[in-house]
Amino acid sequence: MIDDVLAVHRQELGGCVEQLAALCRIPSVGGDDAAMDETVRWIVAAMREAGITADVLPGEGNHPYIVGEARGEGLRTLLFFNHYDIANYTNPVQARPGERPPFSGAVEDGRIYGRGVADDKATLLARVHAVRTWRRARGELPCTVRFLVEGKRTLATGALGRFLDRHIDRVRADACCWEAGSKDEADRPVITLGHKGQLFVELRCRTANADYPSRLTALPNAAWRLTWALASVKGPDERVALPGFYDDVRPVTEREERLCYRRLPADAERLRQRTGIRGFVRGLAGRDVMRYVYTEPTAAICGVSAGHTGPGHRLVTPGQARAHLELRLVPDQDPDRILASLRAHLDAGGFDDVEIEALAAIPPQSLPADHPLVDVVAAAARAAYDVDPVIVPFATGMGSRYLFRRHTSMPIVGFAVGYAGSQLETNEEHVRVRDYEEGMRHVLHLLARAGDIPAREGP
Amino acid sequence: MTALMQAVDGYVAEHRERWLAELAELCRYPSVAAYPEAMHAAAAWLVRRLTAAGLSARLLPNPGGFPTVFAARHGRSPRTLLFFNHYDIAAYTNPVSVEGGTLPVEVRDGRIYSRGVADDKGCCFSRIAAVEALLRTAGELPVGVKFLIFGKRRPNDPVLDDVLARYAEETASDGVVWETGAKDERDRPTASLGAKGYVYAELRTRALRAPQPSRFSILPNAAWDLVWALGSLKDPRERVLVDGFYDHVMPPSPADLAVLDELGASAGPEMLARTGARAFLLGETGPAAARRWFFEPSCTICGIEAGYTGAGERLLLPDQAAAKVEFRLVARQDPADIARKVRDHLDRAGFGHIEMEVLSQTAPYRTPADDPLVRAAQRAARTVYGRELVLRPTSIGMSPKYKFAPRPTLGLGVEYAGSQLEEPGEHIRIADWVEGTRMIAALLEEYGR
Repeated sequence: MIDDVLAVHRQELGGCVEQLAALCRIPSVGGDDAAMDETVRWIVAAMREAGITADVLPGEGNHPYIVGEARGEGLRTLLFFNHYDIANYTNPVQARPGERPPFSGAVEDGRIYGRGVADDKATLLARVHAVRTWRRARGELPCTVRFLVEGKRTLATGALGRFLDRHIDRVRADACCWEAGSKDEADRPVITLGHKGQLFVELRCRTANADYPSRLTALPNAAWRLTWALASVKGPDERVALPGFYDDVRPVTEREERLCYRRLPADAERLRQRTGIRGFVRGLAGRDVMRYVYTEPTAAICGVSAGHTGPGHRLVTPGQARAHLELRLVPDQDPDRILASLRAHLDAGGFDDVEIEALAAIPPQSLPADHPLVDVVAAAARAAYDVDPVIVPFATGMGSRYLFRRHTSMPIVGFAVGYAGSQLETNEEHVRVRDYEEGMRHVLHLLARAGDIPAREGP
Repeated sequence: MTALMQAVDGYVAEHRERWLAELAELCRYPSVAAYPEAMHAAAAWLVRRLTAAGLSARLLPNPGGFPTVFAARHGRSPRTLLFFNHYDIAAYTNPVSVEGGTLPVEVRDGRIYSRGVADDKGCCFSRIAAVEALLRTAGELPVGVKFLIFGKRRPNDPVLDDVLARYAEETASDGVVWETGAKDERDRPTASLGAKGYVYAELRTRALRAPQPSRFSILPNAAWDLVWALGSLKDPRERVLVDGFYDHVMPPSPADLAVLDELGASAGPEMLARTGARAFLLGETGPAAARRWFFEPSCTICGIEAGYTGAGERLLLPDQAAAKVEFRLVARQDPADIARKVRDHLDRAGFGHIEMEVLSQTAPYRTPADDPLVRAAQRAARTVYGRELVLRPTSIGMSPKYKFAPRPTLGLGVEYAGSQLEEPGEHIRIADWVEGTRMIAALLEEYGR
């Protein structure tokens, strides 16, 4: 029973929300060194106020890492992994007339606004605040808690891998709480057991020094070459045609079926309405929609460009064409093998003139659903939210959980503060005060169950 | 050489200096749309000059732009040839610089330098001179002639359509002698018989209200949609897959194919070096590449755009995608028919939701190489140049020639490969101009036989 702790939680919620709003006002964009420094100082102060030691370690190509620890009486150690940069990858921060300022930190209608609040400032601060709350209520934590907070400069720097190579001992624990898992479209809490992998490549084709007049119809056309090459990777049946692409896909187990897939939201109508689509790929509907998102490796053209694309007509044949292709992978697909397969596929199709540059290669990672840690985190969620959490094998986004795998057997599960309507990476990004309150409570219930977490086996 | 041509040659020798002075007069008018007075003055000058040569000449008014010079004179034969020319100076890529209200004309090294002298004033005036020479020496023309000399405001000025519609009877003829036909790099006279056409369309598709994070792998992707649609239009063997696309293609005649070797010379290493291309399509070279290039219709993606392709990754599904696609047509394909067939193809292939907007179109046209007008020009060239006329069955670009279909059209000129059209150094060689003038006289005589 942690009623005493929950009483402090309720009492202090208002102050916690104000602090979150203040953190949201710092424009923690990876490219803004001054703002990132300010963010680090702010977080270190908040951690120390909560009784967590906080050290700032250099990031080697990244902004600094914040490493924290608060000792507790139990035998177990829990690591919280978070980041203080705001996600800035799909929709770069930009103030737009008629829109909310990106870093307003406004609290309105029960919502806390600011770019980065749902990814990942609210989750980070909910964990810091949970520790503070527990200590104010009880003095001592039931387990040792560690923090690792990253500040990414860009998406893929390799910095976390280098950091872990040097400092794994400062962050090792019996279990790690990752930061992915917002509430689903039906407003149920979500626990993520891993992340998908990714192979992100740029494809380039060059058939001439420059665009040339289209009347020279006997010469090759880079746009056609790339169009045909892309069309050969995937057809309208959505099946990826690379040789062996599906070979290493791990079959869904009976337990995963029961714990995860049968509980996925059956209704994808809200996603359909929000995006204005005619229908989902393959004509999927109902439960199959989310099941596809979680189980199916996919290929997406993220961009393609060649020749004249402005208004009106210009009679040119493109001499160069370029595309960004993302292959999103599931366990146990290996991005390096998929890359080799893509090269072989293009060569076999006569597209040896299409160059491939891999911009990112992230292996997929997923904790088996029957790991005991999953039960502990789920029980805490049930207590905090009063509803059964949805357990999904992957966060839909990518992540760097796999980097820990090189050093430690520590199991990783993800959960976060936010909901399906959080409008990530827009100027309207927000979490609800309720999400924040419940998310913090989830951490408190997890601390209460720390004794149930199994000791780490292995390194 | 015929007695008539001997007489013409004598007349040409006697009057060439006066003609060159007159041509210089015409060249001094800065006849571009930006100088309307010069445009009107050049048109009036031509009417006077045609009248003096013995034709009945007048201006066809054009309230929306500049008047068209029209002139006619009957001949001994009932056949009539129409000369197509323009008095405006092409200045679409390089503007004309005018000082003191006139353009400079410089005669040196046997050349006449002036913007517009090659395109098209020298050509235009050579035809007036030829008609004058025939009338003064023989007292009559072997065939009837008509002149249509346009003052365009811009490319694709609708004045040509207006004139052909409103003066159908006046402008009727058995054949059309088009402007331009440069001597080639090897100094051989050329004549062009046709031009390609095209349909230029934009294809657009929208899959999402706004770009979405790519983690929503279940959402439709506008870029895939467009790539698949484009892929359905043409295969990597360069075959256009639109049903009925090749139905009306006019196969090259034996006379057309006879010039393939000639045309193939331009599909060689020099062009590859200039463009940086590794090879011609499908590894073809010489005559095979030339055949595809000149006689086969094609489909080109001129541009495609969706999502983000700048530096770094953006994990986004594109909400919309667009491509510009050009179908370049050869004689007897009809642009409206092709546009319809492409639309039908997309609909049938499951791309009915893809919008298609035709941005521009022009019909192709090609005069058969065995047409009597072409034969007459070949005979005339033997007399005037002492060598075979190099026939260009079709240009690789577009031209409004098709608007005179089904009349045969033949492009002849007084410029050469080094004339630097539309550049500050634009010029013609005086010897070419004199030959071009004699060529017109000889053509009229041969066409009258």
